[in-house]
Amino acid sequence: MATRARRWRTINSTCNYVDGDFGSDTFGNGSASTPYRTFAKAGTSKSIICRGHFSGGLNRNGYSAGLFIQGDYFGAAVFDGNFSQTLYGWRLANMIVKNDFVLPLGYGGVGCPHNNSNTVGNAQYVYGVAGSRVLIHNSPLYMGCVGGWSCKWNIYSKVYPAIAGYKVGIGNGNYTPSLEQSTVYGIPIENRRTAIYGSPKILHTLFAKVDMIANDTTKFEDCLFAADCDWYWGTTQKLTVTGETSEERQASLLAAIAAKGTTSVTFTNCIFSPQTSDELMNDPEHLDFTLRPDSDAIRPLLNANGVNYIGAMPPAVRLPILDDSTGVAGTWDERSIDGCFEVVNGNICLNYAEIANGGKIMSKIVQINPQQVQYNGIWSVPMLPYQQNDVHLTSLDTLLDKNNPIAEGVVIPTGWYRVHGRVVYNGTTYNDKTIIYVTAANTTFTAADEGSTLLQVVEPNQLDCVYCRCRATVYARVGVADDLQTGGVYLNDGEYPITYRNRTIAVGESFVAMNASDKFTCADDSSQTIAVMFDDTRVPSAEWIPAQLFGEYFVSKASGTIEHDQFGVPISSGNYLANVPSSNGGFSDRLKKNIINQQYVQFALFAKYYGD
Amino acid sequence: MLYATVAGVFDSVSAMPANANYGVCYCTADYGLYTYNGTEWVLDSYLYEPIGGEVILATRQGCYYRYDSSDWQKMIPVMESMALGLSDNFNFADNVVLPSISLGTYHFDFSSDTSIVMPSMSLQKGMGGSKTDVIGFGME
Repeated sequence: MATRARRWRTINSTCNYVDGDFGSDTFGNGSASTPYRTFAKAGTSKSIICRGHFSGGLNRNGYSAGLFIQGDYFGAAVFDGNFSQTLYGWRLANMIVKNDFVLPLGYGGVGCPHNNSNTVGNAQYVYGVAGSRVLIHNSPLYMGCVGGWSCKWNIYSKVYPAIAGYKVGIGNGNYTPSLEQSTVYGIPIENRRTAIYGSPKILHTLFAKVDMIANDTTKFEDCLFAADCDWYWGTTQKLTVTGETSEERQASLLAAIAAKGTTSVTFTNCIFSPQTSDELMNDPEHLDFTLRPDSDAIRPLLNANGVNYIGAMPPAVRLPILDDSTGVAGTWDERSIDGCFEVVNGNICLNYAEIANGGKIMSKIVQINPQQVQYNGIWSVPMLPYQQNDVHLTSLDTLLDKNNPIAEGVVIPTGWYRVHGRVVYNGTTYNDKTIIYVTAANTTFTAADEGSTLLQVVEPNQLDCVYCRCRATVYARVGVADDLQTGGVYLNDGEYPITYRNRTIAVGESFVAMNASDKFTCADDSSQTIAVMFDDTRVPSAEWIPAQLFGEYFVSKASGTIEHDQFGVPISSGNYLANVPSSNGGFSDRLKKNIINQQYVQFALFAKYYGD
Repeated sequence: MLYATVAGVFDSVSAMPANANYGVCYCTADYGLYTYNGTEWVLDSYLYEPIGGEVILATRQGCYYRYDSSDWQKMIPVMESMALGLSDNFNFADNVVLPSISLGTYHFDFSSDTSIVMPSMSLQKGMGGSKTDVIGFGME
């Protein structure tokens, strides 16, 4: 096998490329084909395109000239500052930023000033995040500025002031609009202030659990305020807002404002929703800011952005993760777990002690009515530094060629390699897990520690995916006397609950057969049958389709048949080739996108360990 | 050395995971997680959560540590939440409640009729101008 060419969706030859998985600060040159591994190596002279999970920040110390750090696509790059690192001084695009840090010099946090060092600390020239799409969570903001210049499709979750003198203000009036089609969540009044400068215009933005200041200077247009946004006159006098409709709540707010005095705040076509954050969005506390199907933020008409909703995220249906999902249909199924997965505190986790075994977890069957609704996106924020734990969420075994380790003295084919042990190559010693790019023919290495080898990186484009399989209808049924297939998936679509291995399976709930000997029972009707969803002994196999963890879902079909790439992987939103143009070896400009439109759908996560 | 005590659940003092990044930690019967700032114990916002008899420590970095009666097991979240995006043609009028059971299985009797009328279908256009599949049919 040879190392497959590194592909990127975002092509820009003026930028440095950084790959947190397989980049190399020693052997890379920052190009798309040989990327660096860290932001620090890429430096501050060029913009950066990146992929992976980063914990090392890069501070431009306030000198911003419009350079940006951009994820290859949204969901590809996560920066977790661990409260000790920052990305201060950069515009951001396609980035998820968590736990950023405040610099000791007093500025810092997420965001940047305008132009050059002379404007640092000048409220008029606070650029803010200055980019899109961006999710910022649990982080300080540069001069407390939500929005700024060109801020669109942003999510600000539980952001807070970088310094006490600059609490969180909404927008900067020097830029129009200052914030657009965004979601702002979880900012209490003790962290709030009025707009940092002028009268910023805010468009199509959803505010939830954000305490608002009524005597601000902001111009809100087509915005939505959740019922759990409290309104204040100044930062200490809470206004009473009542009403069961948007009109009543707006009238109540305006009356409360009038009783206090005059304000420059204006509301144009805004919604003062009686719904709370949890009624508007699916699970904002766990970074799911998608809109519930009955959310007031969904509008019947398209807005100027061509969408029919307010906020950064579209409408979606939650797929719950429950520690005990007994009797609940359409959830992740903790009983289906194999290997290192566990559900802990409502999260799907990897048990670090079992990680070397890999693992699998499946959802229960999700039923939809394809005439009423279809699924076109998988919205799940990437959670962890996969590569730091030597594990990726994939079903493929081709990340590293572990079966053919290269020993010392053996000529190394050109390609990318990962050190197993400690080796000396070209006179330099490289430690375990170091990535080495071999570009010259007829080179060898020596083992610094006995038995050390090189493992070839076969697939550097490997993505972390969620997998999906579908069934259009029920092809077969089984009764209480029938054997089940180990690992088969069955759906109780009958009239009564059934029992399988002492567990009640509710009507509409599915289960995974643990063996071929146990059968299900039905106390209410022994003739009840259940649907065979996925059981290779009775119905045709259904392929697991990789889907991008955070983003659009699609699979490419020709005449109803799923298309595959040259390596046999389905061409779908989880296949990197599906997202790059044919000029770069992919299919994006010629594939036929199909979304989920079949009645029965199931999801899975696979964990593959590639450590030593 | 880092230590934690979970009063009411365990009596003994157990070693904390060294990479929990908490400095010195101490847990009380109230399941609050406290950090020592050099002069006093300060309640942090991250809690022990006893779930089903287990003891779970949530760290600031988002990982969980589960005490298994002898050691702390590190649990690394890979998915905190997931939602399925709805195509832009979903039925606003009916305020769709999902998941729902709908089309079901269509039965055709080949033995008694040579002409089969398929139920009507509407093909829908997805977000981004993508074209959808024909809805599949199975036979029993």
